[in-house]
Amino acid sequence: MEIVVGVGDMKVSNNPEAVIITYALGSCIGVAIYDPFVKVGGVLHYMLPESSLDPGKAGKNPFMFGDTGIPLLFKETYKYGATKNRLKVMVLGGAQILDQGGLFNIGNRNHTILRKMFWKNNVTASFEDVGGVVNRTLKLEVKTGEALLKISGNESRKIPWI
Amino acid sequence: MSFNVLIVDDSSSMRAVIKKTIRLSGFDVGEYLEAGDGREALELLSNKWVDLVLSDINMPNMNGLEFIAEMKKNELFSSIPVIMVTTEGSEKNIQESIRLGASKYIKKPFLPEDIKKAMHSLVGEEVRDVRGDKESDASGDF
Amino acid sequence: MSEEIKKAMHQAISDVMNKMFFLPVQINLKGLAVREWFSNRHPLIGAEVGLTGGRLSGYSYLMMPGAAAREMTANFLGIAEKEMKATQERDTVKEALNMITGNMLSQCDKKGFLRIGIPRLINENDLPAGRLDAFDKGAILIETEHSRMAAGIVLRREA
Repeated sequence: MEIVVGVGDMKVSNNPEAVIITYALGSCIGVAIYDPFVKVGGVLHYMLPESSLDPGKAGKNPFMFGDTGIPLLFKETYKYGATKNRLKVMVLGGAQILDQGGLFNIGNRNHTILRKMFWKNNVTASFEDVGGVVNRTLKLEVKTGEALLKISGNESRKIPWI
Repeated sequence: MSFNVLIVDDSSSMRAVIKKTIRLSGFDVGEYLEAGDGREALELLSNKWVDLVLSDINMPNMNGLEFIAEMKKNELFSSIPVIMVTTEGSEKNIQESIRLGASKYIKKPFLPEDIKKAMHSLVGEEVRDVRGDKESDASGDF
Repeated sequence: MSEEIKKAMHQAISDVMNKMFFLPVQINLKGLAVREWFSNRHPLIGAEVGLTGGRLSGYSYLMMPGAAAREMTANFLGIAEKEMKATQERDTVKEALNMITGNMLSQCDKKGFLRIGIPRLINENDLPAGRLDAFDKGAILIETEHSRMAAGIVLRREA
């Protein structure tokens, strides 16, 4: 059973039949988390770093922004019995799609807000594949925690994160 | 098996950041010791068991190069591995540190992975506390 | 400031601010005076550090509004601003300058000819708006998402 996470979206599941998928992570960041003990997985796909950029939009869809989406992803998995110290964390995306630097490099800003929040909240990623000029797609199998990463132009590969 | 780490840097904020980085990397550290310069660090080494040192170079009273030179002269501490964590990135300083006995050299600014990798190569695999890190679970926004 | 040093400073500021302080930055190339850059953002806090090597001597500096220093410190330590102490802010600004200067020298001075001193706070008397013109020559103006900073380096060759 496929659960698709769109752009500015987040899904969590403990259904053993579920495979959570998110496509085309360009400058967006995809955060996948998985608790192997209770077998709960979640994926967030956010587009922009901070909700202060557009508080109105953030109110309607907090998953568009890293600073509002990331806490919600974690908290949603806690509802299913996941605990922070057991959660494995994967971070993908943040590509530099256009030749832009400084404050216009959205991919880097998206990654930076995540790093800032992880640092403040004592979270460490088990696996990261960020930057570059590529598109990424992720599939997370809830039953096993197995994650497949596909980078544009390459075959899918299994990620050693559990 | 837990071990004691000594962090030597004249910036108390940087010492706090290095300490947090090591904690988040999952190493089973028994005690964190801190010193603001080489002289303080040598005094701590004389009084406490230390398994690993992370030291800056540019410090008042006794800089990191002088400190490591003194450390290595003393049989009691000469075998303790030292990781330099410093802004001083010239070839000259890197080579001098290694010559004096530093095991690894990390340039500031660094990513947490840089410290983790250096420690991993010196003290082995990190050990995650499977009982759960109460401090980590309780703090922050999530 | 030579083009090589300017470029190295831009890179160093960007690297340090991104990696250690989680602050993406943009270098502002409009050539404004430092006084104008910081209008209405006082009081400022700043640090400077001496540089020496053979017949060269000088200093580098970094300054910013108090709010920027607080944000930088909270990010650096991974704590909320309300948990911070003033000593931590001052220490963090000095350490940021230390890292920027060291990083810049790693790019331009690979042989380690110049030595960095111990950073100290810039005297508060030198930071009000009327005094900032002294920092104009070669100042690098930095924009963060919520604030502004300025940095620079002054080197002199002894006759």
